[in-house]
Amino acid sequence: MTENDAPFLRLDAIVKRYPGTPAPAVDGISVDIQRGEFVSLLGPSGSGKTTTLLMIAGFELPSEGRILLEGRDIVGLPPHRRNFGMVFQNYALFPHMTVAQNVAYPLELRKIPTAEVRATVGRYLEMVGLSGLAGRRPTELSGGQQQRVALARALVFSPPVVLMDEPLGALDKNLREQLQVEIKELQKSLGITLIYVTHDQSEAMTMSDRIAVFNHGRIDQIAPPDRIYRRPATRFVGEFVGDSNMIEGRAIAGEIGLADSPLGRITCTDGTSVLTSGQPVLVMIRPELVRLSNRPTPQNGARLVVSRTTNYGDRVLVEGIGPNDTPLRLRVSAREAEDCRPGSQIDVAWDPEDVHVLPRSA
Amino acid sequence: MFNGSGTLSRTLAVLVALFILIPMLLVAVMSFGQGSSLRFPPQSFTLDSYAAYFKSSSWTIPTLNSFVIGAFSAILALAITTPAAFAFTLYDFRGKRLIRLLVMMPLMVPFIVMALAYFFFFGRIGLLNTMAGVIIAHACLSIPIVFLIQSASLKGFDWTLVRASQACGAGAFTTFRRICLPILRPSFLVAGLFAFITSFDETVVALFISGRAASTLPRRMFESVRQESDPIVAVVSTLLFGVVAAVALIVAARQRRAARPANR
Repeated sequence: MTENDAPFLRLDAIVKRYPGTPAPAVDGISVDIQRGEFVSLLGPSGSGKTTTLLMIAGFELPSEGRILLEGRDIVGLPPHRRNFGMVFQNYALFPHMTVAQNVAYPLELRKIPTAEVRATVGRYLEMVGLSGLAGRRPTELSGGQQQRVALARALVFSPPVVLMDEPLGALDKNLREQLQVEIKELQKSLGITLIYVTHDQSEAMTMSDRIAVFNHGRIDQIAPPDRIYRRPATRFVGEFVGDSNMIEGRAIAGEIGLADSPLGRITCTDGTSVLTSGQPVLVMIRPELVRLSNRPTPQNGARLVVSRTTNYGDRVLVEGIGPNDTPLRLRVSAREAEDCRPGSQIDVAWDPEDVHVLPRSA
Repeated sequence: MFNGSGTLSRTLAVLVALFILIPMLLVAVMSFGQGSSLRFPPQSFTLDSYAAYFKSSSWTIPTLNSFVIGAFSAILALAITTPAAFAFTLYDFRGKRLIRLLVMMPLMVPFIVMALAYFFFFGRIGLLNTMAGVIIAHACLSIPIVFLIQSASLKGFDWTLVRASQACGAGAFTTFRRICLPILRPSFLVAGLFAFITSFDETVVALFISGRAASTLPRRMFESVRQESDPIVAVVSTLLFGVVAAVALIVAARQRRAARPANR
């Protein structure tokens, strides 16, 4: 591999152990990130995503492994020499400085001439929509405005990589969605390479080019959002991202793409490679891809007794019990849900294309 | 029953304040009296004693000494305690509790015991009857209070700001100078003022080790009351009270100002 083919940022077999803890916090992670890519590190708390980010930032040292920026190992560089922008969950604005001074700080440290600092700060404040608030103190701003200042401060010196640690975690839902769009647009228009830690799967879905799903210090899967959603590599990914039905089945010997399950035979067009004869498999069907049917379906369908319905406004979640006491969830429209009173019998079906198969061990 | 606007609670507050203030007021009144000895009530009012105080070098020199010793012992205490407070807040290390106990020791050991120890020890190393000796001793005595105030302010400090500053490209020293220090300065100033007052106010250790050369104001007053019963003592007391009250007001005003942005 030549220098030019090397990925922009490469995490190479990173391990982080803390003394006194048996399991490593990060257990052998390797990721290649391209220039201008938006990569989310997604996972539950304690899965190692924040530790990974802190190691990229330089606030934690890996116990093993290398971090390469354009082929150069940066593990030995202290955080302030890495030239990465960073946004924190609690904003971390300097309370004794004005908004403009906060944004100017990284430029002053880089000995940029005053006139240029002023112009650049003005440009970035305008970019985040805070031009009128340059003279305010951080305490005089709302949470959303404070995070915009932090955003401007992290971007103002055109860092090669920007790191964000749950930046929207402290904001309410509407503001969060608005800022998701703004961050995504900034990232695209400025061509920023962005690594974004979150435990919010919908945030990762809407913003990322690729999502790395963390589970117990390892990355279970790294892939574009729709692939993560439709073709999860492990049971953990399937259950962590979105809602899912996981049905334990068994591949049928001598048949290609057919599994036996408590719900009857299920045709699978995807993941047939794991469907060798007799192997235990896990069949995943997303609840919104299960539909009501007006007649019983022998294959790729089931008859359910409705046990509970939950109305989410846009969709209604129907939980039912199928053959062999197998629970199955589906999402339907409010009008369809009128036929799904608890205790009633319904027939459901799904398309074979929407079925995803995993090896049972994963 | 215990609401703040109750007449009972207000009366009680006034009574307590009077209980504390009346002796001070008596001394203040006496300081305007005439004659060469302390008397109450004074026969007539004059500023003679004030003039005498400012003219007599046997009073002005100890006053100056007290200010110099107070200032330098406050600086010394801050210089010793600041790194310690940072270390105690940021790191866990072996023997932390034991060392904390040691740091707080001057608060628990009776001053007279400390005074004796300093008397013998400083006698051996030639610091007895010197300004330096008193400065060192007073700095030690004010370490616990300075440490407590600084630790409290460091505990409330948002340490992600340090990371944010580093991510902006600032090294450790620049971060300390441009981020930590400006934010922590008000509470560090308060700590320094408390150290100053501790020194200014301290009598027992000063009596033992300050001698004539480095005599502090409280020591001079003690001698005056014992030997001369001079009305100048009342003048000094009144001035001292004024200084301490002024410092207390400054501290209160600063804390109010510091607390304001948080209330928004």
